[in-house]
Amino acid sequence: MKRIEALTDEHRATFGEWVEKWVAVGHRTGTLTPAEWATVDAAYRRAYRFAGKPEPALIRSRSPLAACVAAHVAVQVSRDGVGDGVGDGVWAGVWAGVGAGVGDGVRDGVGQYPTWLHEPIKAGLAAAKQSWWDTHWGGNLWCDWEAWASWLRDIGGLELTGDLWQRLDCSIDITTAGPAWLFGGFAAVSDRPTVLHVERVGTVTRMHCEDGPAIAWADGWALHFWHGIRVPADLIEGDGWDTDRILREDNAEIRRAAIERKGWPWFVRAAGLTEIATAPDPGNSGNSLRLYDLPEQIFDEPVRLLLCTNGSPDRSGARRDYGLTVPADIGDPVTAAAWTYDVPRETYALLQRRT
Amino acid sequence: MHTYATALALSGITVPAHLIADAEVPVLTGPQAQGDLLIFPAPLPSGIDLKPVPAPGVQVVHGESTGNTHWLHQGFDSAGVRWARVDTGQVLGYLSVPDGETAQLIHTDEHGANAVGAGTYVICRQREQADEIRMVAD
Repeated sequence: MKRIEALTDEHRATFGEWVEKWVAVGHRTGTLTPAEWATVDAAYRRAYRFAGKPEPALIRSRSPLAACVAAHVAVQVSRDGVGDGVGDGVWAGVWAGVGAGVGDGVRDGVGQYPTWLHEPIKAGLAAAKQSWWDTHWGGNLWCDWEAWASWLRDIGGLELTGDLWQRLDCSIDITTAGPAWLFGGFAAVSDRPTVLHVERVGTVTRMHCEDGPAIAWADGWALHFWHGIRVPADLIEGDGWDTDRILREDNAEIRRAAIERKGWPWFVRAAGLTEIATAPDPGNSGNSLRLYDLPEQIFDEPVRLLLCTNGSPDRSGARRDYGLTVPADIGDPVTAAAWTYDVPRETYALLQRRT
Repeated sequence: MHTYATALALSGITVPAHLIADAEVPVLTGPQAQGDLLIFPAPLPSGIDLKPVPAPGVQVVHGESTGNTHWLHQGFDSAGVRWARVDTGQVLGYLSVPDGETAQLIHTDEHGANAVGAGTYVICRQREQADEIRMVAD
């Protein structure tokens, strides 16, 4: 068995590309092809065998929510034994005759459908809510283990005994698809998303989309994100939130997201903010810095708003205003602008040119 | 002296329609701002490892998504321009421009170009106050 004794600079040089390769796996969109489903199916069968369990039937689901709910409902329904037998009874009963009397007879015979379905479905959903984490597998959205283990084998040259590396291959094949919920006898596996929008800020990659879902699946299940914060759909779609809705929101991060989505210039007007002070913006001739007070309930931290004008027009030719929040104990606009760059007031006051 | 057209060409960018291609980019040695970046004269700290700015330029904000970003280039006949990336807090790095030379800070979308004359400088980014301090992304 070959061990890796030390991590060399050569090893480290491979990390960047390796990470990008596996991040790309996590970012993959587009529904699985039949060949890919076949790979995933075979991989889950091998996985269950490695675990010493009988091979599962695969339920292909169009989104993680569908997979999770399907799996938990299936467990409940199969446990209660309300399966094919009852279904046959209803079918035969319905076509045996016509009229309300026959219908009533059938309903009584079967046991007041759909009442008997309510409880198992509700119990299935409740069980899903409690246990979904324990029974789930991340798929391509959670493949850091596969990235780590495969680096050790493929680049590090680590050798392991027996079938251990085959188990890794199985796990890698599983990252072809999305999250899955695994039970005895069956696995519900989600397809990949059809839509994914991410942004990179420094070393952090996060979901963001300013005009629609940041991630969405083929069955319509979709999630909206603003710079990595999950937000309700109506914050992003259409006209976004009005000031009433913003002020009623409990979560400060979401309030900020809602304001940024509409823009601080809009919020200044719509919320009737009080201007505290204004000063010419150094190096930005003809434009001024404006400092506003914010209503107490906007953010948890006491902040004020500094409204600035861009030094250059944007592509439409317009000079856009934008807002930055600064500590509330700053009363002078130039000091506030200097604070944003963490320089002394005198440095910012001497600004020669802003583009 | 560079114009927007010649400065942006350093990064292979054609001047966007909302900027005047032939506008000259003034060479300045005082503080300047380009969107969310500030460049201002300051002595270099000791022990800073300056390296020549290569011909293709340097992406000043490391790891920004492809598309809009700030690039640092040599100006005309300015092979002596040097830069050290620091990435600590708000300070992105240090710039050194020898006498008679210039550096060009260009932005690939909105902000055009800023020219920097002889001296030593800090390039830093902008923050705002949220629940904690957040960096502003252009």
